[in-house]
Amino acid sequence: MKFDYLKQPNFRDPNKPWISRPVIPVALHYKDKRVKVFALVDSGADISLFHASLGQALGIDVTGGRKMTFFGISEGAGVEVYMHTIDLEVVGDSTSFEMEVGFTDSKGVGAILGQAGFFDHFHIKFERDKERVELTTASLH
Amino acid sequence: MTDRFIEQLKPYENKWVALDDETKEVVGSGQDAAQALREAEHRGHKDPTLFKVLPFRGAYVPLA
Repeated sequence: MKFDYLKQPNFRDPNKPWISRPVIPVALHYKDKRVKVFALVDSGADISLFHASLGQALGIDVTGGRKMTFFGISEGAGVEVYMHTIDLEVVGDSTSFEMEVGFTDSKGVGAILGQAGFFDHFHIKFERDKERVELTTASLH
Repeated sequence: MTDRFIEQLKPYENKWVALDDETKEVVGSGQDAAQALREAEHRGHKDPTLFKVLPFRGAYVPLA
């Protein structure tokens, strides 16, 4: 599956270059609910993280999950994350798979696909020169 | 994604939007994903794709 990078201009300063990001459509499944979201494929993230409101839309009791603290590049106390197991499907692929993801109220997090679970499941080729990301299903171990 | 698609996101900086899968038009918005989804469903769009519109002013690093 190939996905073009999502380009975003700097509306505040049209002279600044556009930023392109590897963003792909995924569907999150929990029990009988399914929510689709565009998510950033982020090889630098240890796990997949989603904003808590996506968990709420799925009917998850977000703060009932296992609590963890995650740190980014900035200094500080980190952000609280609640872990839950969901099924994830890349839109366009016919299968979904189970993975543990985190939900957080942090405004810095929208939808991020990280190493554990997601990068385990796919071979991922970033082609920045073509502004394209390619996913193929990996055969696990 | 077309320039028209990107241009329509201009009013939604730092907000969540719900996008119609076929037209890619914004059919709901809000301060969080659940709010954007509710607005889309209220307008009759049952299965939109949600998207967080990141700040326009520069680069994005998650958890920064």
